[in-house]
Amino acid sequence: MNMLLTDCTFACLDAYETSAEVLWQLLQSLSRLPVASIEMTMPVYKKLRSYRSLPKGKNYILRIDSAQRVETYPGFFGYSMVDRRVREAGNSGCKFIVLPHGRAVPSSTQEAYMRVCGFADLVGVRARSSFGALLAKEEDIELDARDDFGCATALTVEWCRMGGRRAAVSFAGIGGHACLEEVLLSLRSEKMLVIEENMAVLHKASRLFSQITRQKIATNKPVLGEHIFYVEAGIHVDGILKNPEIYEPYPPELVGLTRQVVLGQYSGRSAIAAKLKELKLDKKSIDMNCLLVSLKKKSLAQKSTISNHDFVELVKELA
Amino acid sequence: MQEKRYIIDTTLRDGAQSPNVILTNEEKLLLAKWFDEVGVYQIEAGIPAMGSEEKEMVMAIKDSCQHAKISAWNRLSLEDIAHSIDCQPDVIHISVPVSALQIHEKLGWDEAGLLRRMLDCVSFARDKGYEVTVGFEDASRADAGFMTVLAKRLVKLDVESIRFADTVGILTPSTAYEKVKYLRDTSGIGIEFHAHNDFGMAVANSVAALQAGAFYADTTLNGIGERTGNCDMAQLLKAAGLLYDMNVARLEEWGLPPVTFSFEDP
Repeated sequence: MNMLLTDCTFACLDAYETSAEVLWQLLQSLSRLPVASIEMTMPVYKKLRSYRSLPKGKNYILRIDSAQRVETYPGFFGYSMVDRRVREAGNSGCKFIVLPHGRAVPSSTQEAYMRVCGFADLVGVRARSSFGALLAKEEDIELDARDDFGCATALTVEWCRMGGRRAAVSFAGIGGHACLEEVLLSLRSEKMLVIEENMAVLHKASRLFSQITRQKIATNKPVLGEHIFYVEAGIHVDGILKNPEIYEPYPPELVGLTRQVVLGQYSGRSAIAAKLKELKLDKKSIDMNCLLVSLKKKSLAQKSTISNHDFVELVKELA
Repeated sequence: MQEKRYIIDTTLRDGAQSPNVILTNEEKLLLAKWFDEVGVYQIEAGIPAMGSEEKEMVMAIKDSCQHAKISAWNRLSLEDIAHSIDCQPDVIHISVPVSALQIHEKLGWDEAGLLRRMLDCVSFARDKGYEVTVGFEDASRADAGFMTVLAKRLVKLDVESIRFADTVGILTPSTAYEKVKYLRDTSGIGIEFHAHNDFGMAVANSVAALQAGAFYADTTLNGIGERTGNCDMAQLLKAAGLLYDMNVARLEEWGLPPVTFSFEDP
């Protein structure tokens, strides 16, 4: 059975000033990913509604601060609320109770599930015993692993591997959750999630997300980074040209990216030959050794990779 | 008292291979000195087979580092290894693709041919008196039994440790733990874990490998490296530091690295 993921991205965007339209476009993009539900705060919901009604076909959960809000905002698939018992115990709200049937009070324990947050310091395989104990309770629990030690995605995937059914995640890990896109790709690789949707929408979502948060997604960010399928090193280019699977964990098209051979300091003969072919340049008249040496020199001198234009110039100089 | 584990840094090799980053030899030398000072156990300095400038740099690094072992990276080729020997590093590292996909489709060899070449190359470097480590490339997709066979042969040649490379970054903490533990238990060889961050798990997987008995974890500064990069040194120190003494006591004294990277458009 597929994992039930809750996308909490829209519960983490209160602080960003952005247009309702861009926010709605991000929601539309993310609603096309294989997650079970999308959670949002009341301010974000109001803003989205000021533009348009929510995209159809998804389960939406509203994060509320008191049970009365259910009457103010009817019609959601579910509502999430910090568990008051936990708050009273002096804990800073690390448990949420999620009522997935649009009621303020669950009529039986089966109707609500508990989201348990934390676990950040259970690095490596340390989480196994805690997760085992939680799963042994046979309650419907949603894991919300925190990323304080850079391990939230791994914790979430481990939870799923051990039989956990629900997990809370967010796009690019905003708010300190596990990264939605990393969890999706890893679960796919572990054959625990069948992905039929075209996830090329992730690429568009990255752009909208950057626009909203005013933060660039790093070019090497897993799954989202613009350059993660760029390859320069000779041995890797050689492998990729023979069979991309040799050096790629999944095909770039799956996430809306493209593979690209770039030329630079670490280029080898295969890359140069491939580039000559790509640019339809005649290989016979060129001394490959000279070209390789001058290419490396140029790359170092300008501290960047070599653009197609620069490459053509180099070839002309040597011809 | 926490158990000790060690950092092997590959910023200057796997990190520098990233199209996102270009490092000059001067910058590499500055970084190597910094790694040496803060307590990195081993510095993978470069690939001598790339040419004379790379060789000069590896030698300069070797000359200017006091504590760390300096290693040179090689393909499975006697010619490559001869270039490394010219640089007189402390460690000769030989990369050996071990998955069927890599052996058959990248190299165009079979398993028997691979074993023979591995033994030839390792013996060549060992006979010259060098410490050798062998990198099991694409180990995460390789047959566990085959890796045990290779590792046992390496133990006989006095190779103390192998690099277990998750070349395409597909492991999870549990699978990293199980695979590393199995190889260690069945062959007795020491293990260095080399993570990639394709699913954002390089740090978690490296910690899991240390828990499984790997003694060394490979890192790079800012996690630079092929595709999504390798295991980020600072993040690993933070996470693994919960469990182990990573031998970087001098880090506070030395502060930030002397070279920074930006991830601009290539």
